[in-house]
Amino acid sequence: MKTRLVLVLALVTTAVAGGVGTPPAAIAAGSTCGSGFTHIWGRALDDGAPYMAGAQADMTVRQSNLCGSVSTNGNTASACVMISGVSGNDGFAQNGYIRHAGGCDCRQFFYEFEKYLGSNNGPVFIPNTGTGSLPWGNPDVGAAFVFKTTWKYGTGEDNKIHAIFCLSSDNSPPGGTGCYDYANTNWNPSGASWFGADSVWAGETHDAKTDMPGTQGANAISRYMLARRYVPGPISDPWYDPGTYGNPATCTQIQAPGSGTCHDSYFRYHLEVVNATRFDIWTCPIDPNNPPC
Amino acid sequence: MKSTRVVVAILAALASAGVLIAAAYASAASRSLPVASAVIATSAEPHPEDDFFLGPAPSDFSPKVSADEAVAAAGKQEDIQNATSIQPTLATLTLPDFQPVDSETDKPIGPPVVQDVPVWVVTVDGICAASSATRLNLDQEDGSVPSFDPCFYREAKIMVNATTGAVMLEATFRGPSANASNSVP
Repeated sequence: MKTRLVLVLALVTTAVAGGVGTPPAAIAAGSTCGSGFTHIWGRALDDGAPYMAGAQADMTVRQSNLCGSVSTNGNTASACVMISGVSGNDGFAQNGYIRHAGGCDCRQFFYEFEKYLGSNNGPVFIPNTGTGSLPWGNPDVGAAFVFKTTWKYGTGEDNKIHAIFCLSSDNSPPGGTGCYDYANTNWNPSGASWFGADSVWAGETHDAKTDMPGTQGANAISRYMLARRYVPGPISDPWYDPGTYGNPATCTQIQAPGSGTCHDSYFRYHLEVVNATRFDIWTCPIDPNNPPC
Repeated sequence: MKSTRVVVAILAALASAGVLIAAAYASAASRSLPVASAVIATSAEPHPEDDFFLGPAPSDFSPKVSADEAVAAAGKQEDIQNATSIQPTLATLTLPDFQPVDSETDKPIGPPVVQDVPVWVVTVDGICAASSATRLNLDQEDGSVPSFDPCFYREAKIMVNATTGAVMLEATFRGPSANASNSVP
């Protein structure tokens, strides 16, 4: 039995409604990172299934300003879809886009597979430079891509979790077009004896002083969200609207103060649930004494 | 005319000095990196956890890109200035599952894209990318806060195409001390 996220949707709505105002002149992350304080900011779904088997969304790429020195710190901020364990040392599989500091200070596609927390593997970055890269160039700001994290189970499948990247297609949503399966795990949540797994659509920062993708005037959009469940048997469950059996949990976050609202203690990270298949996130400037938006 | 020549001469001297200074700086910077001598992979190194495969270098292959150039390319992908060791290794890269798939069924519709491509694998140790924790604490409603390793990853393998010099992939690893401090209460 899984423990569900505590949701306060009314508070979410209130926070979002209160967030409409004059766009800030500029967004700025912290000049220093301080202690690590990861936020995962988005939606999660379990639908009562022991394991969820997939999450996909059409995501609009936005910039994430990073705390500290981007040339040397090596920190990251990202947006992705994910199958995430829910208890103990359950791991995760995710893919999406990331702002990667260090040498390149660039946005790249990425995936990350971690069978258990504490596994040795970190993110794998996919530079967009010829052979080996995805064919769409860098994930530029304003571009949109479909990301799928999908556990291929059932007859004829390999029973692994796959990281699939597609170009967005407004003409034939939600699946995207020109898809590439880039990589897959060598495990699945059931085989790894995870306690459970959720479908997740989220932005992520490593630190409260790093920005989540999106600004007030240019939200990071996740739309055409779809989910899949794991139902043991020969036929893999199809993708479905996550509102089919309920609604995804909102305000998915880690280590943020437990206010239950969808903004953090600095009122920087915001989330607006547009409908069951779309939500937007964005970040306001650091100003703890004067919540700006 | 004469004054023009003097100015040109001065500019040329300054430029030369600048070049010399830049060259000296670059040389010093290069010397500061703990780059080991290049080696040639003679055996396979599978990475099933990240789904890539490193094979031995082709016996008859002569890379157009030098090991130094590969390290320089790696340095544009990852911050390697504080690395404790940098090892370039000539090998081949295969991404066994990177292939086009149908957008609805997710079934393969073409062959794998990257097979046995000669690469320089630049293995970088001792870096410390800022801490992160990529997991939801859905079950931690008691408000407990997991503790995490301050270094998100400490090691990277940066695959540089040995023919074109392009960075193809960067895989990162937490390193040997990650597990000790990456605990969840």
